[in-house]
Amino acid sequence: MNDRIYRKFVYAVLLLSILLFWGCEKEKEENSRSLTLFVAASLTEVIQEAAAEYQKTNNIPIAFNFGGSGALAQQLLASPKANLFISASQKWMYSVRDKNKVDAESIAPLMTNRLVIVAPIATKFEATEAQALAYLPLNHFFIGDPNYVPAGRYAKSWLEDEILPTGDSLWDRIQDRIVPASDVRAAMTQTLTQNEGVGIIYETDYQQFREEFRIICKQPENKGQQVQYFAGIVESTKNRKLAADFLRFLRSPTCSELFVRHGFHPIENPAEPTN
Amino acid sequence: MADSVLELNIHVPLDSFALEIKTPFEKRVMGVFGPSGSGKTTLIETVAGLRRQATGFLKCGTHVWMDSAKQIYQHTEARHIGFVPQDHLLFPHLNVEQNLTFGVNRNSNEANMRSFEGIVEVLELRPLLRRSPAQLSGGEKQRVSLGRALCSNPQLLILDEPMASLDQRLRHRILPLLLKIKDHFQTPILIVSHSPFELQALCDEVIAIDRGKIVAKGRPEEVFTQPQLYQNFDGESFKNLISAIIVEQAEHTTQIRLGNAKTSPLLNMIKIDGKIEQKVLVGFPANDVIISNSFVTGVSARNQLQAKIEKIESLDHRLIVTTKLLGNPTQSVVVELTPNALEELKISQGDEIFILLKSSSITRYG
Amino acid sequence: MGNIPEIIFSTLIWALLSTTIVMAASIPLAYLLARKDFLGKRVVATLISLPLVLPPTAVGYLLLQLLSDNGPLGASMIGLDLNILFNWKGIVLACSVMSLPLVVRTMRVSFEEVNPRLEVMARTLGRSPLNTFFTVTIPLAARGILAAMILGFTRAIGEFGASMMIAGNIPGRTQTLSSAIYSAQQSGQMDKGLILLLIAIAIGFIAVFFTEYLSNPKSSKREKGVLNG
Repeated sequence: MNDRIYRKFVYAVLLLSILLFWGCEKEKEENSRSLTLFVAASLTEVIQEAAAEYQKTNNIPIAFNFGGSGALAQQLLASPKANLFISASQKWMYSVRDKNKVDAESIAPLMTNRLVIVAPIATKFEATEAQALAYLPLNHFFIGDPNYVPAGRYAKSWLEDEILPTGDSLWDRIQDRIVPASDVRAAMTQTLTQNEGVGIIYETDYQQFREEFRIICKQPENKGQQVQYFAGIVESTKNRKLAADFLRFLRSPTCSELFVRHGFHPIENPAEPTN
Repeated sequence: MADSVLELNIHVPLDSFALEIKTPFEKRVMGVFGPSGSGKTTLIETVAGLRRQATGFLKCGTHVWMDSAKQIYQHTEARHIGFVPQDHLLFPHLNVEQNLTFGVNRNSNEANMRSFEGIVEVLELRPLLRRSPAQLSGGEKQRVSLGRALCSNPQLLILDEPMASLDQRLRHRILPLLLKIKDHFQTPILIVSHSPFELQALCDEVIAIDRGKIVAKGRPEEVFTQPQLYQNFDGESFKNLISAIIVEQAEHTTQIRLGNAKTSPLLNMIKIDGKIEQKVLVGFPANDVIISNSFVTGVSARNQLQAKIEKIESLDHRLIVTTKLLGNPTQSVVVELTPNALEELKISQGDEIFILLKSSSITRYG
Repeated sequence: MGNIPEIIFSTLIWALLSTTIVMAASIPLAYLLARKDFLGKRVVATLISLPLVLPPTAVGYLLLQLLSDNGPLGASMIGLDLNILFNWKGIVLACSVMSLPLVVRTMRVSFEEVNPRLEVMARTLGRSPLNTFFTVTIPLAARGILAAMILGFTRAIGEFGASMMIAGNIPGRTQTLSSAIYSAQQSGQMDKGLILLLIAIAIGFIAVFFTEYLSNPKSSKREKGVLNG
């Protein structure tokens, strides 16, 4: 009896190994003409739509890896298995470029986003501008962790640019009430739990969940770093031509329209990649 | 009217039958006999308060432990019982002394006050006190288990198959110990067993149960000589157990007297240790005797007991003959006979016969 | 990010606190599950095991909704601000919830291995059920209880997903060893991350060592016969 079970076990392991190898083989095949995109999480919906559009005229498989730009950068630095990297921050794009994982010449801005300060829809407090928040009885400010979430870094830079009459910045004033989250979505979820707190998120995120939030105020153009998305071709890609073609598509008017529809802003004064 | 030692009128539903026992136990040492599955375990668990589905009436001495009509139910820890299970159940994380003193000391009846020292003496536990249960042999565990129950000063001692877990040799060594306990301590004892031997040896009164009902009640000899209960105990025959006193010690033999009167019958057996006037418990198998109509000479058997036939019952191809000894009419002796022998010797109820017994057929049990 | 000694100290204290809470809850729970049959026993056992089966972020999400201002335990509902979210109490809660199933299950097995007839024996000797629990059950299950406690403690130290959700990763206030490692790694601070990682490994090593020691104490290493043990 034991012998039979043992044999069955060995067969199962063998079968699994075969499937695994076969799967790996398939992957190699797919690398021949396919695209793998590492994309900032906030672009999840919009890039998928863009890719679908692209596939109408180009029959190639496209795979996505969505995540925080920081995490994606780490992954690329460790093992660059993508064709294209789309980051929500210049910093992370540059960190990958500096290690020669991304072709510096290919880096191009795609679109911009804006930050908004939101609160649960049932709340009643108001602030005509960000600075007023310093004086409201708020307990928590939910943002992405500025250390590795681009939205958080942008939020910090915005608040640092808001100087209060007393001379200190809004960021300094509310520092001890900051709750850094692992990503923007977590910050949003947490924001919804507090009636005496606000969250700072992308305008595009707000668009998606507008039934649950109300905007307290928006990021003005002159405060904080502009939220800009950059795309770059991964140096080690085997499908450079294909990647370049897709990048060109992303910068086309068709995509511009698509981005705007999702709440992003087109590049007006495209910030040329600075050193 | 004095309170009986234990009074039961209980009903316990079980899988295929219900245990229904209604009886008072009047004697101090009581036995419950029954095959496995007859409800013995349920009975003692009910007495111990471990069967919540039991209903009815249960009284020990003057304490009412259960009275369903009055909604009285005493929990196990409130009933002063000393339980000695078949598998000893010593606490493995305590040493022998801690096991012995584990019981909450209760029952302040002066006549029943035990000293720890006394119990340790009787059960010969002194050399074991510091040991842990894992280091004890089966017989030693048995003694500690008994001691633990006694040290807790119980109102009622319950022994569950006290000899079942022991081999033959140990069985014959435990019995003297149990007899010592019976004599030394006045605690009422309830013994449950599927073997008639220990109940015969220890109990004053026995009930036999089958499928949850009482099928016989009385003195052990009365109960076990009933044909439906007459047992082969592990392939051995029914044993006659007799209390006796040593009267003479010779080089190869010991003479014992079956009774207190001067006219009580005497028996010669293979030499045993013991002083004159010492009490012993001896026995011989019922099928290891020869019957004669008259006194016989020129025969090797050293013992010839005069007895009067009280009862003859048949079982399979044998006859169970219960006799009473002349010279000690309280002592009955059971002998097995074939129907042919009976016919040939022309024996019937009321006749006087001689029971021939070899010295070597008599075994000392305690 | 906060300073390293503070992070380690906080993590240990919170793990200790949560372990205490979990042990207090688990002992009666595990014993009940081990010994008694009651209506809804399966449901209770399943509920307790839930944090083990669900992804930690899902548990965090559930706790978040439970404690949010408008949730069933929120200030608007019960009129009292429990103030558990986004501070150290949230960490302790998350650690407790995530380690409870491990501790209960381990302890339950320990209790089940104690012969219930020994407990019955103690009661026939006059000890109350509570007394029996402390003088018979606990001593005999002691090794397993200790192992369960260590297991719970290590789980609390390593807690990450759920705690981050309901307490955040606020340096100086709710940053644990695990979330500090995560931050360091995510933001590319490799050296700091490595130091924290080594500390975490060291703590884990010590804990597992103790558990192993408890399972095979030296005393049982004496010569054993092959056939009769």
